[in-house]
Amino acid sequence: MHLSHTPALLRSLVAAAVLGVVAVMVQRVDVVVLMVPFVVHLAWGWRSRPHVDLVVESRPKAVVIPEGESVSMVTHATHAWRSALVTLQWPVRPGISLDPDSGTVLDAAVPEGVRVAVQPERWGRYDVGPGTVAVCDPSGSWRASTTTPRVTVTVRPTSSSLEGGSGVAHPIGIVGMHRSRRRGDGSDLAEVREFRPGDRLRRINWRVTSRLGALHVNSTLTERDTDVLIVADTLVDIVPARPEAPTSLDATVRAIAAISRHYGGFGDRVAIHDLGRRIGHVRPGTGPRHARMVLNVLSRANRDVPDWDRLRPVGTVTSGMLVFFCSPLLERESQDELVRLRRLGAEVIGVDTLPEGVGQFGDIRSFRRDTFLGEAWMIRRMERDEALARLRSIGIPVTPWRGTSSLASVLLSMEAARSAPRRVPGR
Amino acid sequence: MRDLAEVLAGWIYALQITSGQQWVLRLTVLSSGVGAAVLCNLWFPVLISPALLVTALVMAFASVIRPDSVAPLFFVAAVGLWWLAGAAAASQPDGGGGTPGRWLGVTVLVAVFHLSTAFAAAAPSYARVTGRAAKLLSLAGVGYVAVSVAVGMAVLGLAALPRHVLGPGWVVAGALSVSVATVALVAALRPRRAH
Repeated sequence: MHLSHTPALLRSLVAAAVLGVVAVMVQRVDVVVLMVPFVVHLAWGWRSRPHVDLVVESRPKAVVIPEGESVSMVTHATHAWRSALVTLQWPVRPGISLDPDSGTVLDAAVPEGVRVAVQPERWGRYDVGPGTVAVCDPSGSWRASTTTPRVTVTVRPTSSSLEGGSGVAHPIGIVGMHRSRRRGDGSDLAEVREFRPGDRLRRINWRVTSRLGALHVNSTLTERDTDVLIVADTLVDIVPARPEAPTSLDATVRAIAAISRHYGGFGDRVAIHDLGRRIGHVRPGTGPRHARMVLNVLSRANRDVPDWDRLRPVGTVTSGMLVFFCSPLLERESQDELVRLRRLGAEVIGVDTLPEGVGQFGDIRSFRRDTFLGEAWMIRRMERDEALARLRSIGIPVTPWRGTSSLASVLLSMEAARSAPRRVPGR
Repeated sequence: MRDLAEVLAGWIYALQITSGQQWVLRLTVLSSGVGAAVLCNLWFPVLISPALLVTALVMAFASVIRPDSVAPLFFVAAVGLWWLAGAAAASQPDGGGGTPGRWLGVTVLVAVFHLSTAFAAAAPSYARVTGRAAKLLSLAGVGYVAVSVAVGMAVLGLAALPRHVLGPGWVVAGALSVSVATVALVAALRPRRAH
């Protein structure tokens, strides 16, 4: 910590010395009177001179917070002067809101420390700092300054649960919470039928039995879990004209957080496959620990990877696996991958993560007139809309991501389709 | 010319983002500086009063914007020069240029200017000053001005004693105290490094 005198103390010294010499030489009382404030300040500064080493500690070093919350950077100055003043200054940088706005606060040195609140505007990993701490004695004569270490703030994306049903048409596990079409031990009533050898006695429906005269039992549907694969298309991060608006990567991350939480709650095995390199893969898993791991992986997603890296196709897909394909669906390769997964037998739902205003008519104003980029984006969006229409025509639902209620209609319709009459091929 | 424009633009921007509490602190600097200059102009008129007035006002404004610069020292130098040139008659028993009350008035304003400049330099202009810090600054400022006034009155009281009581002793005592204080403080001002 660098300790030094302030310009005020130097000013007092110079003024007191010069005026003192002049007062003695010319023997004038009035000059002594003018000298008094500087001598008093010198004496105060002399009394406040530091005797022990100052220590400044800043906390926390690293912190993980959910999106939308803030963290207080607390700085303690120990062995400081009695009634010392502490100036704490954190650098302002884009994407982070500070309280106070300037990130700078002048406070008294108190045991609970000096605080500046830091609130990242969206999910991700942020390096905040280094901050600057200056401790000043109450006379403004001495000043000690140092820098605080950088603080890593990891912001987990919001993981609100999806609205709507599970959308699982063909559970492929053994036990779980999704109602399957198979009869067996479960809680949902399938039918009441006559007793057969092997039926459990506790399944006997005594009311129906006494009415009909023959033993009848309740037949139930089994409950099973399933495999959920979330495919993240992070090859390109589409950034809208407004810098504060969510990008396609923001939408992708939030959709993955909500979907993984939703199906994690059902006890399903959730895996993530990244077609690009911004998020990375997550092995199939279930439970709260796996949900936390997914959020940690998402919060470490890297925005700075160059666009259009090589597409990494999904490996094996089990028949009946529920696949959420989160993508802006602008590139032909991504659309082909979506169709390929459907043909492999997966139940595929396309989640459109293209930001809302991109390629719309009103977005043309965001670009320079002579570049015609606005018009180019409109043409690209029209081509994409045509591709989406083709995807829907072959039975792949594609729904734009607009929050937790985005998939409700699709999931409910998929659940309803499970019990719908089916045409058996060949008959 | 461009550098000057950039400097001025920087100063204007610094004023724009100044927090409310810092405005109060810096207005204290400005009002005390302007007050001291105006009182000197009224009470200690000399030939170069206009030049000293302009210098003092410019330095007071500069002190508001950059309290950690040499501007406050130049302000003190201007007031000191004014005092030496204009208050000379006041030290004569029959002089009509000034009275002890006037000396104390200007001294109080100089004291307020000096300490408020020191406080303003403790943090950037855009720093938020908490209530605790504002209370601490206020108490320190009031205490400092009170002690300065008390010591000033004591000096005036001693000076009012008949000359044969103290004789030339106060001159020797003053010279010795100033020398000792200067040597001790220069030794203490060496930068130290702590951890």
